[in-house]
Amino acid sequence: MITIPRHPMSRRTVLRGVGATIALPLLEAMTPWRALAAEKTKPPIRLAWVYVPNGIQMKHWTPAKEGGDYELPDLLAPLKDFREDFSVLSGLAALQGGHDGGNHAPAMAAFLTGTQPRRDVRCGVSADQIAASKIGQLTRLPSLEIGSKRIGGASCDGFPCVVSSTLSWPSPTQPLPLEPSPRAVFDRLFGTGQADRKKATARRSILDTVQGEAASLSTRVSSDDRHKLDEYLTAVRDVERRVGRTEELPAPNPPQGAARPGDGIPAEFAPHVRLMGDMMVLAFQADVTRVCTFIFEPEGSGRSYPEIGVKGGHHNLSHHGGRVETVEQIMKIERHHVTQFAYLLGKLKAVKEGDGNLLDNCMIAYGSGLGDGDRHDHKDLPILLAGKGGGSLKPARHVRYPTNTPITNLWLSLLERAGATTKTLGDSTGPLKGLD
Amino acid sequence: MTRQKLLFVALVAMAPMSVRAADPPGEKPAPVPGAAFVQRYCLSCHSAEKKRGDLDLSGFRDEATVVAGRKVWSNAIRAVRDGEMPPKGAPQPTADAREAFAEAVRGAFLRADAGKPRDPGRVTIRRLNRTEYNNTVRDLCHIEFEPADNFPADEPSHGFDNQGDALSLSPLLMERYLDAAEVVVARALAGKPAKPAERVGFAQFMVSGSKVPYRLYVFTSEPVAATFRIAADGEYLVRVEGKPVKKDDPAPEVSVIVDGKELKRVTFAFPEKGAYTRYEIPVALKQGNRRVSLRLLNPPAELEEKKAAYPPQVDANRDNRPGLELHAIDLVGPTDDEPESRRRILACDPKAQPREQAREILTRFADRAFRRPATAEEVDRYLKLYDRSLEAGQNFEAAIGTSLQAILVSPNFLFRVELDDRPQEKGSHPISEYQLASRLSYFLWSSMPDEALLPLAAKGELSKNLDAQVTRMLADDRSDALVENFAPQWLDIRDLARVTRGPQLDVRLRESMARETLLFCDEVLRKDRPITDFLDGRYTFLNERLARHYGLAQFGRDKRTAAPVPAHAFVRVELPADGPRAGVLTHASVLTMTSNPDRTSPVKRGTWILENVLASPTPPPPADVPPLEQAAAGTVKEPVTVRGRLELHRSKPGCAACHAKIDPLGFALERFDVLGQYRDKDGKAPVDDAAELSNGQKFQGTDGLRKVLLGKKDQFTKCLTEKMLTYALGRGLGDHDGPTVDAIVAAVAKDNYRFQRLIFEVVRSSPFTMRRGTKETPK
Repeated sequence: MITIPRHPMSRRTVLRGVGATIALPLLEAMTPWRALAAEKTKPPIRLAWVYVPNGIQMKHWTPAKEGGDYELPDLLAPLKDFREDFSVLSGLAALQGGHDGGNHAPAMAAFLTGTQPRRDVRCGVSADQIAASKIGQLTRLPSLEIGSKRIGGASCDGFPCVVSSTLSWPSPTQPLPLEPSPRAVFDRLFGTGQADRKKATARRSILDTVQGEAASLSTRVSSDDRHKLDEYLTAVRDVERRVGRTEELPAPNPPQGAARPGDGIPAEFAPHVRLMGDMMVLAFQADVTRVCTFIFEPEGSGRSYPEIGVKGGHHNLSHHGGRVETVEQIMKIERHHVTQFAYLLGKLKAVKEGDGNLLDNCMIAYGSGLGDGDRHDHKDLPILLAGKGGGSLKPARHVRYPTNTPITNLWLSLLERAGATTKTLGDSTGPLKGLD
Repeated sequence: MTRQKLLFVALVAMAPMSVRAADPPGEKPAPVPGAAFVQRYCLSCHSAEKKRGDLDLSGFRDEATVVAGRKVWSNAIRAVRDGEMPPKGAPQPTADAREAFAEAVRGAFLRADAGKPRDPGRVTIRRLNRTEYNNTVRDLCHIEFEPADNFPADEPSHGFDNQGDALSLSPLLMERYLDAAEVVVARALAGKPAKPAERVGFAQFMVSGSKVPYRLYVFTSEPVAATFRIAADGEYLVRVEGKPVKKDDPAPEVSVIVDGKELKRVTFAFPEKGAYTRYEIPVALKQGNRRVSLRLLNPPAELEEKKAAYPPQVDANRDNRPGLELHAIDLVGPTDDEPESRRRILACDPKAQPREQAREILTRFADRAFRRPATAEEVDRYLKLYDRSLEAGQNFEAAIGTSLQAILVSPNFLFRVELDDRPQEKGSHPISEYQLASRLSYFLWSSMPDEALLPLAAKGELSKNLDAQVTRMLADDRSDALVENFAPQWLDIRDLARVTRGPQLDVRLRESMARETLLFCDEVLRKDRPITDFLDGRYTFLNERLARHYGLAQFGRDKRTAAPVPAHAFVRVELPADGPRAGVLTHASVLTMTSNPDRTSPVKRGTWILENVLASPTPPPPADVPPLEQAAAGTVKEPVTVRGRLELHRSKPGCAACHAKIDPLGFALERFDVLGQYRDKDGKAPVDDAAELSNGQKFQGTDGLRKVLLGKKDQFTKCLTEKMLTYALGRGLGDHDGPTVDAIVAAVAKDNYRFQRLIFEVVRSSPFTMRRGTKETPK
């Protein structure tokens, strides 16, 4: 007789499909900001970042010409229907993403923070979290972090893997985990029932009680431990705020036509990110949050895409050394990613809002913290900026900036437009000009 | 920058600068161990002037300075023993001289460590990780439920997901904790079992081996029986339904017997209404297989005489012979109104005032949740919450439930807090008995201390009985957690479920691969095998699928019945002594995880061995790795094989130093493809699994590799010790842990490398049982 360990493998590991899907396009629905203001107000501006790992084949990405009259390069072809809705920004750099020994993890951590991460998980506050702290109180959720989780086999460059699995840092020591399950995102957006309010009252008193305990404990532990308890207290206060907001801003009904996704995470890339994209659209549409980071794949991802005929792992392929076949393979992945982005833009555009559509009121940056992945280059990053920012952005152009312009300058400009102005961000030198 | 350079830059930076000042005046300091060796083979390059590899050994003047520069010198003996140093071309010492040098340096370390109190280091308070949370909730609330499956993943650090420093607590997680607490308390206090009473019987109704689907005619006193599997202890109902064959027959009297003991006698009169008469007889049953039999007490005499001629008849009684017409034997339940969880959590003095009852309930729960007696102040806080809930209109039970939820999200539950009970003490001193109980239970069970550990801790007798407790705990089922959590993380196969390797790697194959490795590790632990089995154990566990995958189909069958071994039931298989497979290195799980999606990766496999077997990880590639080929795309003449490409890679100076160590180990495994299947050809080319170590030692294939690794037994032991200690302590190891690791390695080696020895030694070690005093607080 042999003993079989009880759960030799997590029972959730089975790559399950997803039951229900969302019936989009969505119909225009009543959203809270409209409900709150009886007369017509200007729709709010939403900010999102979509991240892809391992750099891009820049030769096939960057348009030859500047200005509006450029020819769409090969890798941007999937976006041809959205030419009027996005700009290509070139020349931006995330120089803090370089690190002695290990370039992927820092590339991601530095992308929104402009700060070089340390191996003991210290970085800087990220652009999205600055937005969350300044405009997050206006919505039910200050921000949303979604995307794909790391699949094994990909190294984390000697950093704790969390460094290369998130873009969001509310504080320099606390990276925020992302949520990979479409259903879990849906439940966070729209609550799980009418019991929400009653629950909120009970929660408030529970949180009160444990805060007292943590505070008293905190006086009796060493400084390292106190740091952990501070983290606990921060989390408790954050949830408390959120509970408070639940009372003031109860979970809205999901927009008409939106259904709760099935349990589990689709095994294949495209169905998964599309479903997650649908969630982001719902969140913006119902104004549950105005800030979102969306990680298509974590930095250094070794995912392979057999469904589009790419057997090699993404990271491996990125070190192609110029081999033609390998470059062709990785470009398939890059195009596949852009195709999903096009899907996302399409969904946003299909939602009517005010006189235009939802995309008009968005600012969505798409890109990677690595330029040329083969060389681990953090300069000349591939960056797209989609949406009109409520009229504050002028898309449909290719703008080239001087070499090594910090990408954090771009984030400063976006934050300003979103009403979350901040003076500096990591290595920023001042807001980026030429976006309007 | 070469690998040595990288390494030594870091090491030299740690070496103390002015150790000599500490020497007592007048006494002649002991010389540098192996001074002559160092003089002859090392100093010509590692001198103050040349400082090759940024290493200057001339600064070490005596034994004390060498001990102080422990890390530099540990690395030096490793490099000398491995033949990495002196480099090729330089005069080479004999193997004996190398050993003697290593021994001399190690001797100096041991002398220095002897009798000295060891710095036990410090552990940051640890949040329960997902596994620990699930297990703790299960043991605390007596429910089977895994709420943590919805929690965000715990970030691993130092290779494990239970490291205090990395286990952070985000608002998202806090929200999930609150949700989980609500569901856990609701389940634990549920008045009725979560599932309705379940009929578990009819399908298993067996008579002489045949299944009886419907009706059974019984004519004699020969008993008929059915077996039921009972999942949990509890109250059940035996339900029997029957009638006389004909209305005028005498009513059959039947003895209802459970597990050989008569439960009740019943009489089946002819039913006035309906098809049969039903009896439901309550019975308390224990978990396991239970046999319910019926015996006819008044069989017709003429049939009873020729018993053998009148066996029970299934679904047919054409002659209308008298007897019992049986419709069902069933077992229904459990029927308890009060499930165990609820009974145990809410137990209290029935005569006391409600608030006192609440105090009793909350105190007991908090004591267990905090894994130590809760203070009066703490209990009062939860009582106040109870009061508040009552005021808000909740009833007694709901108010208790709210307080229980609060306990489940309190820092004392979610974190393993180890407050110092002697905070003024300068020197290191033992952690408290309760803390020791938790360290033990989370190490061996990934769960809270049980009803045996806590009373021992209360009496202050746990540290005296450590060995006996470890023995007991390893024998307990819960120690499966050690295998399930430690092994896959050590061997880095946890993500097997998530990698893509084409359609051949389906769910069943993945699961089979992972389970093979788990079962193998389980065997080494349970049978207390030497840890060298991980490298060369000629046995494994296979099911039919995996046996087929390995081309060992003959093993995928049951020895006796020759039936294929089903997916869930693995059998232990002795592997052929001349086959390529032995130990975990040739498990499909490991070989798959160390491959790229589309080809094998000698680099990944070599790195894996260095990190997980030899404890000598290589630094990540430098930032400025030049691309494999500088030339423009398409003009390069491509080497066909992976080996060819790597050889090109190794010819670059920036890559050579590390890859000369990494690649040969990986080459030796080239006979296994991306899924760990044996192959003779890689594409069209024949597999070349010959390899050469940086010291010039040549070897071939897995056999050769095994010999190389077995030659470094102590290094492997050190590796496993470090991993196990990291897992047990929940922190990365530092310089101050060096003596502990050395001592454990020596003890394990002395005890024939037995696996359990390693566990015992980790538990007894000073970092596990002690805490730092104020004096040792690091700069």
